[in-house]
Amino acid sequence: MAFFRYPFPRRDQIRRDVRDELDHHLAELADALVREGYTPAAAQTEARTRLGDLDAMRDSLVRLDHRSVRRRRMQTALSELVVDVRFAWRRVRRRPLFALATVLTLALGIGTALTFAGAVDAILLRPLPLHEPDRILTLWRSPIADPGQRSGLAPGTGMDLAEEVRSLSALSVARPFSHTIEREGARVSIGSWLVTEGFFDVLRATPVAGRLPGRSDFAPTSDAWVVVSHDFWQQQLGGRASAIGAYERLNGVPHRIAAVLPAAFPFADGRQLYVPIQAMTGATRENRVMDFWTAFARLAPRVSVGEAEAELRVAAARSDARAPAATAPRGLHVVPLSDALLGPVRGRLALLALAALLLLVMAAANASSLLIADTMARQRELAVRASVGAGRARIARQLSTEALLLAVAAGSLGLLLGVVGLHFFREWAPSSVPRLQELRADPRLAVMAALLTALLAAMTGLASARVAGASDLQRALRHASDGSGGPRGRRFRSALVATQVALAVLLLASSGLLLRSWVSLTSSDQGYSAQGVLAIENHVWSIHRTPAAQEAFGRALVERLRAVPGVAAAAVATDLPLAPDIGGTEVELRRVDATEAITLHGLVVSPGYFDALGITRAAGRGFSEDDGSGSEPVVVLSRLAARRLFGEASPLDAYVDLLDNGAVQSRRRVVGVVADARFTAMEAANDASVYLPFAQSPTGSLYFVTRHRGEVTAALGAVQAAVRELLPSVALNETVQLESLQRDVSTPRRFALLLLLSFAAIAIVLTAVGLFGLLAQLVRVKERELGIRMALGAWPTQLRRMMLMEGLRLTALGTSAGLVVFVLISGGLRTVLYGVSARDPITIVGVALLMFAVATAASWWPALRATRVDPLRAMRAD
Amino acid sequence: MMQPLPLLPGTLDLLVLKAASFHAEHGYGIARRIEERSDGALSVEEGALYQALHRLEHRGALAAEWGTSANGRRAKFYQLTPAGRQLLRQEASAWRRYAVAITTVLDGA
Repeated sequence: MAFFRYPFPRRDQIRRDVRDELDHHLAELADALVREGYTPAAAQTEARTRLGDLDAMRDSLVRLDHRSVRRRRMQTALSELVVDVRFAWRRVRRRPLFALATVLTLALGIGTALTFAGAVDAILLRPLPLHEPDRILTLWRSPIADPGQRSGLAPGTGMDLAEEVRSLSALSVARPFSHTIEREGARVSIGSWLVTEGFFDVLRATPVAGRLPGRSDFAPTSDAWVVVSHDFWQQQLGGRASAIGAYERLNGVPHRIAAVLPAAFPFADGRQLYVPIQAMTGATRENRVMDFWTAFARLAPRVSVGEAEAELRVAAARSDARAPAATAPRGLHVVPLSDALLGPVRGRLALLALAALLLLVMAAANASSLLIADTMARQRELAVRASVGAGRARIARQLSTEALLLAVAAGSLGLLLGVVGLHFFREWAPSSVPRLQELRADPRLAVMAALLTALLAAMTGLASARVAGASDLQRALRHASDGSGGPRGRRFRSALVATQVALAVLLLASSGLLLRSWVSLTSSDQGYSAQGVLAIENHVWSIHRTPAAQEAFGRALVERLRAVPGVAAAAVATDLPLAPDIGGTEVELRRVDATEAITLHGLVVSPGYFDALGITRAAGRGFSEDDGSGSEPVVVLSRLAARRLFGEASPLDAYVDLLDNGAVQSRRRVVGVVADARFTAMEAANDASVYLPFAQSPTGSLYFVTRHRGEVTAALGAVQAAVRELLPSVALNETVQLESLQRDVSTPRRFALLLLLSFAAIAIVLTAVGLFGLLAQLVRVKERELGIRMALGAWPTQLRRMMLMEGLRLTALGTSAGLVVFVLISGGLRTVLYGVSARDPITIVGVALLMFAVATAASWWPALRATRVDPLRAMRAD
Repeated sequence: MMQPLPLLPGTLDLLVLKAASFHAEHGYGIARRIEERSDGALSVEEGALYQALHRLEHRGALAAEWGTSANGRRAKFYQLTPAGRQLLRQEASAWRRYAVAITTVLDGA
């Protein structure tokens, strides 16, 4: 009987059969021996003896049987799988739209999840590409009075620590700088780092070419050298190995190219050259006050972070005591390099990854719901199959195969989407996100895709198999006519839809918070107006060497810029909001009657600066042309600076001492107070600023600032031409629009917001589709009931309300669950929010309203359909 | 009585198939049948016999079924399947040609 499938015996069954068979042999043999004349007992013994080693015989037979049973079972499973896949494929082909919808939904979910899993893996989880990255620390200082306000280290302090602290194997301080190189007769300005001895001992990377300089290369007697970034090597040196050992003129001085850093060197910040400070001496070495150098260190072997921190604190206090004048007491903090580097993106990236995961769950719920609806619609077919002898397990397997087929298609497409998504993430992510260049599709992504596929197949397949398996034959045949699969399948779908609503609410609320904080940031008062402001950074030290020459140059330049058509105000200054600082922007100020100085944000500006930046005057006056080198030294304070120095008393006409490394440099009269502006960051607190007139403290490192009436971009050329007239031989840096600078610094925030908003939009669509599908089915199921009600005189509006209420009931359930969860976990968002509470009531109410609006819209058509039931047709049917 | 001959390698399957070709038979019966039909010239070692039976069953040459033996015991009965019959025909003809060839060589010397 070939079609009768032999049930596969289990191991104990095999063992029993073999034993019985051999026992039978023994019995027959004994019988024969008795016939030959043996006594029954002797026959038994003789039979056993003749058969030999019975146990060995038994075991080898069991092994033989077991092996072949296993082989046969595998063959059967394989052929059944082929049958199932063919069957599933036929069903999929019969309903391509259903399959397409399911596959696309899942693929989108998988693709998004993979993109962000890949990004989180490459950026946050993988160790930094340096030797023992977890032993690298960064060092920070902050006033004891205000620990939240962090700054770097003063160079003198850094050198003291490097010399004295034993628990570090190396410590280096570095500072951003810029060097010019010559290319085709023109000078190009390149961002660089000035680094002290030990830099490459701390950040131990493997160079792409050349050899990283060691301690001896920092000796004052050794040749000037430079280490270049991978980008610089590719773009400026043609990626040639012969570039190593060649010389590059930096600011006109030849530097030997010592090594090329790997592309994934995490400590770059867009700067391309690493230039040594060979022997730090003089004022810089002794400067233990200006905390604006970046400091990092490598732990010595077998030293813990805590031990190092303790020793560093003591050494820092000792170093502070060597400063010539008392400063406000400062603490020292140790932060691991990975935290310092990745901390800013961690919150946002984790949020996006979590959102992507939620989206995947929603997609899976949608696909499950679709499959279940489909299974329920096929109930009669399944019942028929069951009645002609297909086992429940067999049917379940067939349904799962269909789910598996769809999941595999979705997984493959999702993997593709994930790879593409990762590519776009690298292209579009704000360049301030660290380690972007390490982002690429690798085999781990495929493994994750396979795992997700298996998980989704199991989830969706099990769900529909359960719904199918739950119905017995009788019930199935009874409910088959309405295609509902009975209340059980419907309940399960309802639960799925409510879950979707809850997840969508979570996504909506999170993106709502981000949106609210975006609005609050962009509408916040920054203290200046960026519109129509142009700036060019430049250094004129090499041309105008004396203060008098610099002052004359500044005055002439402002004069010339004012003459450019459309210019409303022009100035030179040492700092600009959001721009990189170009020459130390901290000053120490002391009230003449006080003993302690405070460090404030200080900048030197020409008279037009406040007008150029739209910084409003609060009291007194701004600077004028009369505040010259020969006249009384004056100063303008921002409101916050005035409050820090003078409290609530009026600062006008009071005197302050400007200190230079502890010694009084000048005594100045406060002539005006202006509004606070945010120089450091848009999200940061206002800076307490001190303005000095340019004519009294001229300098060669300047921003040339102009404010324009009308279109700024049109004026670019005219401004550059005007500057070139006065600086014909100097490399001109890029002209910056303050507005685009603002846009740039808010890019990470905008990027996260846009992504999250699109996730939320997808979530809404998925939820609406889920709700719509469920209610449409419900109307079909209840067609007869609706018909009877209508025949008995129910108003169409009553029926409509009945269906609407069903949709809104699920929405209310899901929304409240989602909001409860949101309120519980939204505290985690605090780091990425600005000016809005994590439990912002407006967001919560808004999300609930939006969800109900969407639910009403999605339920409307099915509800309308309920009122159009033809009572006669409904009751006659079936 | 003459001492039974040891079986040549490869002949056991042939003998087993032949012995199971008349009607369903259990292992003991197959062993007896081979001995009887050879007038006691061939003797089957039980371990090898059961290995052969199980192997042929898994190859689909024999079908097995549990039943009751002539003296009322539960026993596993083996019967030739169509595939087994085919195999028996092939093996038998091969053996006959082999035997004839060997005999011819020996007698012609």
